[in-house]
Amino acid sequence: MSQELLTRRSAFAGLQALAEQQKPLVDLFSADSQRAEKMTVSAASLTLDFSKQRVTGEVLQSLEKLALEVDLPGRVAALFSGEKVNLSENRAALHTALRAPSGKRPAGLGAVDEQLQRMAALVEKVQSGVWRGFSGKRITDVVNLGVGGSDLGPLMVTQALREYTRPEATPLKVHFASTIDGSQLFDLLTHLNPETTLFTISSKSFTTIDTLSNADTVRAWLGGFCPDSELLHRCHFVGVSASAEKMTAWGLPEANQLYFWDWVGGRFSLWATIGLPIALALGMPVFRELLAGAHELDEHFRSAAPLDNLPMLMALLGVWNVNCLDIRAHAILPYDGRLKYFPSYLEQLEMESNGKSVTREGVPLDYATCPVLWGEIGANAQHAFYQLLHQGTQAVASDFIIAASRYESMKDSTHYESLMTQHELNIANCLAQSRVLALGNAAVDPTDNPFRHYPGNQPSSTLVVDSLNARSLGALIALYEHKVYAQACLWGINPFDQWGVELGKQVAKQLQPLLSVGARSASDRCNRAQSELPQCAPTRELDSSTENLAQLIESYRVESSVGARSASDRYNRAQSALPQCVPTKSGGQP
Amino acid sequence: MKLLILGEDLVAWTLAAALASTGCRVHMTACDLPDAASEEVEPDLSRLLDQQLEMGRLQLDCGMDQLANNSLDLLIDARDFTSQEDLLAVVQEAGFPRLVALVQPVPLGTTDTLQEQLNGFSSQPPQVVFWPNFIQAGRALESFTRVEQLLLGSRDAWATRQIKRLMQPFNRSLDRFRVMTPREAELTKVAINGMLATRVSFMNELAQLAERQDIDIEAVRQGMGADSRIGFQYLYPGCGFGGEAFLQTLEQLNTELSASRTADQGLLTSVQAINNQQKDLLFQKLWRFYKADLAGKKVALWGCSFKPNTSSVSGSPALHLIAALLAHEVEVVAYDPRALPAVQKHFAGEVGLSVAASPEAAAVDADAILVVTEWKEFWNLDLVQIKETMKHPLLLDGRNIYHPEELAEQGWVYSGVGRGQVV
Repeated sequence: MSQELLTRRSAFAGLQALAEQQKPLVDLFSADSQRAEKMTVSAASLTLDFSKQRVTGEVLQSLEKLALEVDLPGRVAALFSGEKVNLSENRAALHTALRAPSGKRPAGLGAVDEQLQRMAALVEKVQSGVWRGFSGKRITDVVNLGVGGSDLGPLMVTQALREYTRPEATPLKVHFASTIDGSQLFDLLTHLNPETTLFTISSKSFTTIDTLSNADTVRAWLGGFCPDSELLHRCHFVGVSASAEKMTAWGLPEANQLYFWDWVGGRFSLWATIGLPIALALGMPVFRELLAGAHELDEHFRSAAPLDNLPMLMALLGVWNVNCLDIRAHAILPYDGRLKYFPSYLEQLEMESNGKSVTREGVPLDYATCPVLWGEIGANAQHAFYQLLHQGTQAVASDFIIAASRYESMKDSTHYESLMTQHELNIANCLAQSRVLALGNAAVDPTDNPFRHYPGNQPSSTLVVDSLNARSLGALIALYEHKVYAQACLWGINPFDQWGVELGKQVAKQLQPLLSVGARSASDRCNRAQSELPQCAPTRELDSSTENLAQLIESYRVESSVGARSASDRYNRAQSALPQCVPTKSGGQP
Repeated sequence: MKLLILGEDLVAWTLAAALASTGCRVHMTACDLPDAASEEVEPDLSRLLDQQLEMGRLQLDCGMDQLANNSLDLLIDARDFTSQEDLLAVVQEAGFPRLVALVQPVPLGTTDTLQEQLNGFSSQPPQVVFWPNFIQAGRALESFTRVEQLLLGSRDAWATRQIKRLMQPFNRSLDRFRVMTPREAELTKVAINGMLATRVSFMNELAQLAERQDIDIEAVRQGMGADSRIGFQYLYPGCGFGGEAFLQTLEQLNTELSASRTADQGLLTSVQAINNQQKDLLFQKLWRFYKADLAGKKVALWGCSFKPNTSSVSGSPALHLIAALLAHEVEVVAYDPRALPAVQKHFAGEVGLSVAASPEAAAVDADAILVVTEWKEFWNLDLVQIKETMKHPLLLDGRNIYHPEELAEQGWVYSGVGRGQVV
């Protein structure tokens, strides 16, 4: 088993030795005027300049050795061919099959086409106005209820590609609600029309409490306007899940169910029917273009040699930074407002995948894995956390992401030139920041003011996208997915499970019954309820902090519950203004 | 006067017949007269055209070739506006007649721009006027020959005299001509349509409220109309107005209005949105009545033309309803005294639509009747008898032509627009 451990690899020992002798970036750049040309690699519409990473030719050679020692190409082949790479759950991870053209998929995956077609038909029905709400009106708004992989991917893509919205999709407004506390829904439900709103419930297991509690709230809200529950389910809900059984149990008719499969990980699922909100918001052709862009990068990943292979290279550089240079933080800095949600998307993709401390077989690791990863639109982050990058005490590696061309469609507008100026300012800022982070004082005039001392030597890569569109975004997302997989192979871990996420869910379930208003104290209630609530078993006594907090919160809630009445009055007034699905006057029904 | 009329729709043929009948020599670019049953003509118009062709005053040239060297007194462009370049091109092709009249709605400023362009061509350029037509489908010939007002946008006294002389036979007892600048006339034309549409959409919005509040909109309509400041015209709530020209001018006016606005949507956007909702209304009622379970149902659709006495279906609610019904696998049996060929052409190749020879035949075995056009022949049918042949006595009246109490007594589930049962 131990052969999986990074620290047992012979190439790794070589890398550690090289790390001892490393030179600052200033010296690396002055030693070789061709450094950037040598350290630039392209694939699809993406180009990576990694010359500001603290690597030398020797380091790269050793990284390549490591890649071969780990047999990255073989592991990639295993991923694509549908081997059960997710050992702890005994599953394949075939998200690449979702975006392959139908003729190029591994055998037996005809269901992928079938679901894509069902999704396209559904999208067409909603966009063309054939799909109707309970009162017969066409759908104007769609709200996606989902969390994690069922939210972040579709949200990120929808935001990034808004300018490419197809005409057939423009009238439809697509919203996202994910939080378990219902706050997004609370805002949405005050202005959405129940007659014309469709809800997509996206959950792989269809048991995700965050999503289903939102769905239950929505169902209760709609029930206030249309008491016919069967009609509501038929007209206002679509489910996307790997569990047909659970969707049916929730009340969704079969025609309103879209499926995907256990071999698609939640955070890799935007390529499957989880992408429904993308297709609804932007148009099915945009979604297909996204798949095509990802497929292009898939082909690159499975064919290019490690040092010409963008995902492998990024994975290797990441391992070098974390395990050889001890850099435990990684910033994602897109210089593009359209990629607003890209950092949060990657936070899940990278940290949920590679935030692990045992090997695929369960052997504890003696080295670090996924760094803390966070980010923000670069130019905005300059006014937030860049100070820490420039003069703080943490070493941080960064990914700068920028689109070369922008606003091509605005050429005839009067504000085109101003927009171009802004675009150029943005590029200038992106390049300036990575330059100053790398070179520090050497990038500016010398001074002896201690407050103006810039140590530099913070490594970064810059990823240039020729132009951000469905195709290049598909490739960009696939790039990071594959980087994550390659990195997991290097670390010897399983990127496709998430056992850490499960624990919190379990404990929350145990605590919930203790928290409804009226319980005199948390433990009292638990004792009274013991017969019905096995999770309140006496062996699981609460710690004093949890108990105190529960009591404190309950005392506040009892006080404030009096003020809740005015809100329900307002709700009732709004309700009476809307048509009911059941005729209020005589003789409506056959 | 020798004139050429461009266009092959109802407006062009009406102008051709009426003006030929006053002694003008009228050339048309068509090769044949339109079929008597087609949307381009109406029965009296068709007869007049035959007559004028026989007399030789109407000439069908099958193109414009023969005209190039033939000096025309007047070119009337009755085609829908496409572009400024196209207008200039046809004036050139017609050999620069002395007078050019645009009779269809155009974007504001079109007439003046064309005049400026022509001024650049010669020292004796053609004069361009904007002479909007008020020809109404269903009574086309009458609406031209007994027009209430004649609007003329002209900057040239000679041109004004020419048009006035042309219309003298129809404008004898009282001079109804109102002459203004072309831009004023252009806006007036589209503004009239905008106002009419606004009245109808307002009534439809009121009808929605009336329905919710159990009020009969018919009583309200009569009360409102009796106020002399309001009057009775264009106050009928219903399942939406259509008509290509009408919808087009509305769209055009809204575009012009939007261009002068920055963000908020204006009144006319709402007027159009309400109209679109009304066109869908009968479908929504059917949907609610059958609880969203429409597949396999059979529906009789009474009336397909966008208004009575025309065979035109352009912009008709019937087209919208049929499409929606077919998309939900509803079997549609349509009946219309004149518009069925146009409907069949529009839905050629679609499964689920058939036509019937009478309203009674359409209703046999139907789960509902949808009244879309208020043809006179629907008003006094034997509904008791018709009800017996149906699967379900549901009558959704998009034109409020029946009495709710009477139909309820007969055992119908009857729902109109703002009256009858709430469905």
